[in-house]
Amino acid sequence: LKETVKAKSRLWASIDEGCFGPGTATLLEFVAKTGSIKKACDEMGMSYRKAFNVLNDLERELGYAVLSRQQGGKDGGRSVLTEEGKELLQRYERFVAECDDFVKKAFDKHFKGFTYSDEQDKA
Amino acid sequence: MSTENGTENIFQEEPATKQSLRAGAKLWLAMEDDFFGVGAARLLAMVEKTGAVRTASREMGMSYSKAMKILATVEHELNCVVVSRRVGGKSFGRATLTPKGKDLLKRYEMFTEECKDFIKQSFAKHFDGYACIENERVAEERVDKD
Repeated sequence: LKETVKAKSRLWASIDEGCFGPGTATLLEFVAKTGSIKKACDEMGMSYRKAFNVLNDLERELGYAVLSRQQGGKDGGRSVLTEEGKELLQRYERFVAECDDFVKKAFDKHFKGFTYSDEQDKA
Repeated sequence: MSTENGTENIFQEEPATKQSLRAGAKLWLAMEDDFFGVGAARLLAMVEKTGAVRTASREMGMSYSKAMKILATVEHELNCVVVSRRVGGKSFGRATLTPKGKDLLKRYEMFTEECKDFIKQSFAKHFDGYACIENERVAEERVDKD
């Protein structure tokens, strides 16, 4: 089957210099699921240093904590989403779901009957 | 996602608001590879306006080789010509969009315009009140530190 043209999108919320996008959202989801930043990183194949920087930058830009971190312990401490963190994640997910749905429909509408290659013309 | 194929933020020309949170989005087209975004669309529009790839790329502050690379990617993925370049004669170096190039540009522009409006509204709906509250909170904290 030949590849067809499709639309792709990436949505984020800009916060001054930083942003809350798909990467940050996925990281928070994994932290919520696993209860630890370290485990979230392992599952995502992300370095702990990178995750640490992402979360620190986000919290600095927002001015509040998205994770409540308890340091220490053999697994490097437990982390849970704060109420604000949960709310931000939920708002972002709803926003993305609604927009993704719309983007698909808008693409179908505007690219209906779009022919491109010369082979298609001959067919 | 690299910006190689010109898939920049569709809101980048919007003035920043006083709210700390604002929507950001990239919309692009892909087949096997990503091939058409805001940058490529602007390039096609500028080629149509100026009648030359070289002038278009200069106007956009883009290198000629980058512009040619963008066009080559689009034409390779779609397997059709989007910019016809005349070689030789009086019209040497003149470039125009082919009917397919025009069609692609028009469809993409209409598609992104419609999405842009929706994304803005959706963002305002889902983040309504949130940014302002947090702004105040951050502002208070900053005042406290002073």
